[in-house]
Amino acid sequence: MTETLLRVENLQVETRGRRRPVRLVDGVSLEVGVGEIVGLVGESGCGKSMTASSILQLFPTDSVRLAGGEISLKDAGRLDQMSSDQLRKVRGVRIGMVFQDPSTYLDPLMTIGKQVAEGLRGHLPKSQHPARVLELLKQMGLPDPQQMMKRYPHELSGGQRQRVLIAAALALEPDVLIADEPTTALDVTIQAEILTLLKSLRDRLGLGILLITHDLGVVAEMCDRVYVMYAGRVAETRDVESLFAEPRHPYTIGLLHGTLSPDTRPEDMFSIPGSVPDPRAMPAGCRFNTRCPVALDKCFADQPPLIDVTGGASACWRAEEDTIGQAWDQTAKEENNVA
Amino acid sequence: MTDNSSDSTLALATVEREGLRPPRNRFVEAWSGLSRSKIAVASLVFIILVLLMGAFAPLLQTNDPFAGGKDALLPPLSGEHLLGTDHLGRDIWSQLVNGARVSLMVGFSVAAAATVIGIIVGALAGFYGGWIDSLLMRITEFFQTLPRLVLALIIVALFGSSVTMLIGVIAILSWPQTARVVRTGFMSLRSVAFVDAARVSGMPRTAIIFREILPNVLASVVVIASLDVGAAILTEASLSFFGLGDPNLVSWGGMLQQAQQYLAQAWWMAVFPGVAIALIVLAFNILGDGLNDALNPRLKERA
Amino acid sequence: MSHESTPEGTGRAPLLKAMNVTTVFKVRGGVGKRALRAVDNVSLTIGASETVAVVGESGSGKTTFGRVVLDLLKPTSGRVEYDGVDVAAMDKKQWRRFRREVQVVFQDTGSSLNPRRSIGGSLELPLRYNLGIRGEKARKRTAQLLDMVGLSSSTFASRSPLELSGGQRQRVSIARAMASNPRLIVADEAVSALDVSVRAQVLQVMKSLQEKEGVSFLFITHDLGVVRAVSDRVVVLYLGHVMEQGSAAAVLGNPSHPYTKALLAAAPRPDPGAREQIRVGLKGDIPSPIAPPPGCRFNTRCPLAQDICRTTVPTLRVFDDGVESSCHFADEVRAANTRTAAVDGLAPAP
Repeated sequence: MTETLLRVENLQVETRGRRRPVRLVDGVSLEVGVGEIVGLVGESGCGKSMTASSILQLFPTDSVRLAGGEISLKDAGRLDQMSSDQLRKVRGVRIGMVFQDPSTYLDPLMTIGKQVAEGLRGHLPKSQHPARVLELLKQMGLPDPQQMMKRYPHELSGGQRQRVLIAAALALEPDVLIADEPTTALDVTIQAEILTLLKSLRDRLGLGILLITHDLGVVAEMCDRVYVMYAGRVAETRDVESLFAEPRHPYTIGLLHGTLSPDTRPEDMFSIPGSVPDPRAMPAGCRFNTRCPVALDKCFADQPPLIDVTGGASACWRAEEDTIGQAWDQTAKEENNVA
Repeated sequence: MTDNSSDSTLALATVEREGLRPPRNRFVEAWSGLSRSKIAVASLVFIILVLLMGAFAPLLQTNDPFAGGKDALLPPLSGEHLLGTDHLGRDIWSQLVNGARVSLMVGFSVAAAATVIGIIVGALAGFYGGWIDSLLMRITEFFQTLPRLVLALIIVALFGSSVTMLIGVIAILSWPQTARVVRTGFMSLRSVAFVDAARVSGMPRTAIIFREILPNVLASVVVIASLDVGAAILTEASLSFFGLGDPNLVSWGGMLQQAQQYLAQAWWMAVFPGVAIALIVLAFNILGDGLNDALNPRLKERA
Repeated sequence: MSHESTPEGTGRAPLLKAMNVTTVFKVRGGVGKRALRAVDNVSLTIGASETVAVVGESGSGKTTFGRVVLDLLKPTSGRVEYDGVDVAAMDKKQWRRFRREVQVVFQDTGSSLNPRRSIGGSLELPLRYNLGIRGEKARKRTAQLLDMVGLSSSTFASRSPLELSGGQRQRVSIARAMASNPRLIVADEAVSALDVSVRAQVLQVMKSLQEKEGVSFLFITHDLGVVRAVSDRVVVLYLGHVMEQGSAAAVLGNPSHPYTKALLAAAPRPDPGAREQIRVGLKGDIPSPIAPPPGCRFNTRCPLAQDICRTTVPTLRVFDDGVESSCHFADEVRAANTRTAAVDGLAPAP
């Protein structure tokens, strides 16, 4: 286990407004260490993006707020207790962030050079900006960086734009990079390039990366450790080999079976029945209970805590059973009739 | 290829905050949005009151608005004359309530006519594009650049100044704005997935225009129509002020025209109709804005 | 069920035949107007009860091609034949039949269903306009359609699309496509916007429609995992051109084109053990379709590119397993497959 850079403990994010607040993130804890790529994986509505946004308090709407938990950054202290001014010294400087759709984060009216240089203002003397920007664009593998600086976003391809955003995020040499679905909007061959770039940046700069994605294939390619989120909580956290070889949470097992790759045989297609519970009406007990093929009575009464297993922990009452995978196979496959 | 994860929690958060539900009934949607803004509700109430005032004018008036008399230029609160009398002894209050009728009638008629014409022109231009769009847009631009006063003068000179003519003239000047809004709406919706699906379902083009696309554009149309009423009332008042109004009807603009000479002696002749015009136009503008917020909700932007 | 890659061999007339379809758009780019060849000389056939996948990334022209097949767009040259008749030359009766029998399922973007209509209302449109069914009869049929896709009609018919999840909306779109009793459904990225755990559900509905009702599918996608799961044959597009086509088993198992290999290599596998294999990444970005590279369109990024690739468009090579490949070095590509497992990526050039 490498030295911890970023630690989130028992994070809670809820809606704010006229009605009763709804918990969108309910007690999530995670850690990112030096040189680690940590995956935060889950489907729509699981709260992974909210978790990522809350670290730097960059919520996309003022309808939500940080309601509890501790967020600590090495050599900086508690981010959750910081004022906006203090956070400004962290954003970009210690923690950089890259988002999903590059086109919405680039100003169409500013040249690439100017946009990347924006983050340098106040931190680096203006005379040094062009050299630094050039260096960054080169680092990102962008062709002809000198020319690139004078171009506008619409002249660039999706992959190039994403590289520019990564350059901007790393301009001040932060130790942590939060990447929220950085390749989802890109073509698959371009995705492969960007992921390779992120890995090489980790190797060269010793970055800790928190990678948010819904794609288990990306997780397998990139991550050292993984947090699987479901309905606002962490369902399972393991090192990547253990997660894929021997998952210990029925949701993870279901997700793995549902992932289609060119190697998946048609007869092995699987989908998890039912749907995610409405956060306004979470069931008693484990949130996955109604969709779980191996649920016990206990699962409908008490919510399981994270229980230690080899390589991590799983929030399942049956986490310690070695045969949970087989039990799942038996029940789920029966119920899942290919129509 | 888009992942909806941040969108769905975001959407839920906004739903919880704003209390928005997706109602398909337009009235419910409009009301629930409007009711958030006290001033929008106040404007709506004011408009309804003026409507009632106009509707029941014959009952509310204290005197025949045309009947002059010896009591000229009486200030407000002189006996039975609540708001005083004008230079011919006619009761101001009675003129005001009758004028309300005319103003609102003109306002709504213009808005209705402009909306119908605007929808037809805008829908055809926006949906078909190409030369139809170019042709219709040139026509629209032509009507937009017509000088209001000159046009009104010409029409009145040729056809006389009846209220119908007035409505016609103002409508001719108002429809281009609606047409543009409708056109923009159609241009953005004509290649949306559900319209393609409608084509694949065998729906003929006219049906697609009026039953698939138009209902999705109506929100903007309603807003413009509301603003149109206010603008039409103001234009009518201006035209009447210049003497182009219907001499057989009492109108607020007409009252203003006659009040010009007596400004120093009888402020009430100008102030009451003037304030009435200002308030009703303001009310329609606020209502329009309120409807816009209610029917075209936006997610709050990041600070 | 696997078919030979050329349905002519089965002796039955294909349901749909696209012949040299080309679409050119005029766009404003740089100086004056330029030509964007979104789809360039694409030919393929779809037989009865068959799923043909069209695979490609941005700029491949796959969506534009889908629109041509649906007759939402007229091709600039080439033609589409449905049941042996040229769509552009159909009389009214034939065209109305085409309109009924060829349907579409779009990607779930939130605007594939009219937000101002209830689910039932959206389903009644094809019933009314394609089949002339209205009123009580239409309502009954709507209920049947919803049941067919596993949605309870009593709950869903009156709901607004905004109240449904992505998977549910897609099932409604499938129900809408089925309303006209189609023989061919064009599915354009039908599962791309859906959660992983829901994709298989929707794909299973489509598979069962193929098996039970004999519906054919033209499956447009960028996702090779989905291709493997549902298709009988595959057509790989790049910048509007067909790079390779053949049976799914042959194309995915023994690719004959470097681009196909690159696509297979780039798709991340849910297996950390597979990470270590040599993956030759493609250099550079996808060129703009407005200014495509000369010669073979793939030459700027192809690890096997030689001078001939930069000057001459490759002729179509047809192999014994029915696969067609547009590459000067198709033989070499196939030979390399036998040395390393094909789906794992490109081996370095010999």
